[in-house]
Amino acid sequence: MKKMTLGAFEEIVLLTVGALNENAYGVTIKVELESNLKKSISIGALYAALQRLEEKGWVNSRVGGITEKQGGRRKQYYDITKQGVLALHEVKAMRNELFHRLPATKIQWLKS
Amino acid sequence: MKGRGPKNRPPWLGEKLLESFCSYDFLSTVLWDLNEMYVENLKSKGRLRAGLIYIYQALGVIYHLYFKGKSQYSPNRIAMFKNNLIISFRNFKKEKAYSFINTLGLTVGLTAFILISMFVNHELSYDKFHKDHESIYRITSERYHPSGAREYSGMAYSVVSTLGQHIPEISGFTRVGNYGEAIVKYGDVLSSQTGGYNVEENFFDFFNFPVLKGPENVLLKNPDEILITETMAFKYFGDSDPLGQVLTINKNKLYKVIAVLQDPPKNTQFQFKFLTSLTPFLKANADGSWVRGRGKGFLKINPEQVGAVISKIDTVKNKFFPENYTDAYANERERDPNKFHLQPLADVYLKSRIASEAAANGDMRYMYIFSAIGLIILIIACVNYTNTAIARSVNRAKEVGVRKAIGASRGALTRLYISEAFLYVLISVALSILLIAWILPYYNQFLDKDLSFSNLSIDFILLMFGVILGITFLSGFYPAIFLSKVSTVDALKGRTLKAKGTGLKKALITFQFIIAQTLIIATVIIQSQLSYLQNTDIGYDREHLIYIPIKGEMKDKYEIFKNDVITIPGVKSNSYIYNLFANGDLTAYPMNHFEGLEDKSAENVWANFYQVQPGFINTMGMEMAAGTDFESEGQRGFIINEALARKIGWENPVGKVIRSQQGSSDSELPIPIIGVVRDFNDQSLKSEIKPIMMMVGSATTPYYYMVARLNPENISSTLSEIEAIWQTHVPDRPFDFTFYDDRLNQQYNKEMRLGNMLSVFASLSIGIAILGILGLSAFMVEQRMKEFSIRKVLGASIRQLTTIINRSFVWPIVIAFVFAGPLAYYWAAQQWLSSFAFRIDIEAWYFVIAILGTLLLTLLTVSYHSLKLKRVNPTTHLNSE
Repeated sequence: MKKMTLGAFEEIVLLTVGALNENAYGVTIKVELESNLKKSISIGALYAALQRLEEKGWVNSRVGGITEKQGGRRKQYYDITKQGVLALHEVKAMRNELFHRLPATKIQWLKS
Repeated sequence: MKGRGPKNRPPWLGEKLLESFCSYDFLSTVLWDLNEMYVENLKSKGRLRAGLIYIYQALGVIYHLYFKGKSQYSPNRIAMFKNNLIISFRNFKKEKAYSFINTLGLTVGLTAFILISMFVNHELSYDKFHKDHESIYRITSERYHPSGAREYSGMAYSVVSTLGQHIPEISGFTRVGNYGEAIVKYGDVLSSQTGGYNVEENFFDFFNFPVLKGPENVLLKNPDEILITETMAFKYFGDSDPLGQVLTINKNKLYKVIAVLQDPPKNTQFQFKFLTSLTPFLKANADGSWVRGRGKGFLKINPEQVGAVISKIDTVKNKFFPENYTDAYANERERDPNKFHLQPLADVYLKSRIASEAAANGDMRYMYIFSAIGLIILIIACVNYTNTAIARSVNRAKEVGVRKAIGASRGALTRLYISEAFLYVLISVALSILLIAWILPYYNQFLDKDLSFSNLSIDFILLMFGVILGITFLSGFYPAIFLSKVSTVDALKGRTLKAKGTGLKKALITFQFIIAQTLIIATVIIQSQLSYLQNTDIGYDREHLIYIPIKGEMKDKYEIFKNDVITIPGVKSNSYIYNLFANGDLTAYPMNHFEGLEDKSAENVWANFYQVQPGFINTMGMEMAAGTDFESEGQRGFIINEALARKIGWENPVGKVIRSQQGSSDSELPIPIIGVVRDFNDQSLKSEIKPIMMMVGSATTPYYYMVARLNPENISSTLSEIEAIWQTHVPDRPFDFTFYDDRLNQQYNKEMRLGNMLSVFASLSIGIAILGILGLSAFMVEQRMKEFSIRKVLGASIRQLTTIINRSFVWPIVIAFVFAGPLAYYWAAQQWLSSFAFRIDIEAWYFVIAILGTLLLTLLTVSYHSLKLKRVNPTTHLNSE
């Protein structure tokens, strides 16, 4: 099987889903993303990303929040899966590894 | 927390969008999220912005769903539509010849249709850009004329103002005068300038022509001010600032430029170059000749009150118009009610039938013809698609079978074939837009218009979208129904499809050829008539004949000018006439007291009247039937034509005397007839030869035109010699001349345009039909390959096989002719030709050419495929099974 890749936007969406824990659904994810990225994002793009993550098995979705007030509509909640966490970890590990290989002279710049 | 009251309801448009594009499961998720955001935004940003954000986000969701994501979140039919388009596209690529034929046919049909629509749309848009154009009416008057009542748009200014002031329902009026040709001087440069109009101060209250430079609401208050168009500004002042500059017009009048207007668009009857005030002309006219005038009157009337205005006109006329409000036919007053009519401004261009308008008019009847042709060509193209799609269906029977076996509903199959048609139409639209962009400059040149994509109205574009959907449905509907109703088992076996649909196919081919043949016959008839109009003997020689308008001071020097011109070796003869032949506004006079016919003498006989110089008949190349030509200036006597002699009833008119109203002072004296000229046509060939009388001009009436017969050799050098002579006499007047045959042909401009357009569209329609035959015969050969192989094995020759294939196409063409012949005969021969008094006889070959032409083309096309059979090895098609 082709190795599944984690795109930059997907990665941050996946992280946000994980961070929001029990309360990750469309609006909360969007709000969280916007506050972290400091730019507005389209909810359509978010759905597309979540859909791809779900296909790859890195998030699960569950239905909840059916109330009378919302006219029988429901929220689609997302939870990060174990594979999702592994994928994040892998990416993070790779980044860390690469980051640590930055020459010390260049790390110096962070402190100034 | 979140109420669902109407106030908090997100915009329905957004919800509807989501509902139609999202699958059921996904829908509620999206609705929840967007709703929550909406409620949030409602508090901080207000209703409108929250609503807009909602719709924007909804569109974003749909966009990502279809272009970025997978189709599982979208409803089934949308996903199927996507899939259908993909399948159609694959088929399109797979069967290249078939796709090519269909696309080409549709593209050509659409291109023709759109081009025609653009033209018709332009013609219909005349003067509709003026704000309030619905309540502007032009007033016209209908006057008595011996050859039938005539309608005029020109009238005395006082007529318009009197009506405007005394009829309360008329809320305003403005008058427009035509400057005619003006001699404009700027610096030392003299030039002749057409397109001058005199307008009143309130002209811009009626008509909207935007100002380019100068005050925005410019008014022509003073008689020494002038408004010019940008073209004229550039012509005289180049890049320097035109405002405040002074132009001298007609030698002594100085005008200051106070504003520059945009060039008037092509779709207006006011094709002006400059505007000056009408006031001086009103003053000159103050005590007013009420009789004749060239002013046009425009009235502002609430459309509902037009009837009231018309009913009051007569009262006002009787009360305020002076006694002497008469015209040339004074003693015919009881027959001269001088009726007034109101024309809506927007109707002037297409529906007015007035002979002498400021600019050439269009014709509503031709708009109907062109629209019909455009539509018909489009239908032919759709029919082509339908036909080839049905023919191809045999090859696709298996596909249908499999789809049905897996559970495709009939609706789903219908949608598949409709979307396939949609794809073809879409590709054709794209191609035809490219094609039109390429053709448009030539098309504009041909029509003398400035059509472009950018000035199309929204309505027009919406209409085109409607047409696109319409032809998708028209072409795709039958194949879809046809293919989807086949039973699954039959389809899988590839059985029975052949038999079905052939009847319809033949009917459609017949239909195509009815139209193609009708157009061919009509074209042949119209072109023959046009060439007849240009070549038939009209009683005088129109070749190498020019006329020169005599202007300004030349009127006093005309005799010298004539004598100088005749010394040029290239000029055979020259002479003068008061008013030209083929002029819409001709003069006629009554005569009575015919010598020897006392019982007939009481009644008036009317004849068109021309004042000519001796030598005119010779210059025009007319022949005398009896008597002599005029011999000297001031000679008393008439030369009449044979038609007039016949009308009076004289066998031998020469030497007889008559009385005529013409020549007012001595009108009671009898005038002898000195000669009879052979009949000639002084008007267009649409009318019969009229009775005509000619007289030598009197000293008081100047001649307005010189006619000159030139030697066929070196015409251009002869013309420049004439111009040189002209310049020595009147250096500040531009020399101007026209060939007589050009003038005569101009009378048939509309007919020629129709003829040219018909030729093009007849060729297109036959081209598209043949394209269809090409496709159909290809399928036929392919599908009956097994049959043909067996025939071949059994010894059939290629010619026999070709005959078999051809047979199925010959019949529709023959049957089509049975309809096309009478149809074309009825329209072209009965309707169109009957507007000409002089017309060709309908000959059999007009019809024969249509049927033989189409037959020959079809047989050639079909035979192309049957020749392929020659190379075919029968065994390859017989060993399967």
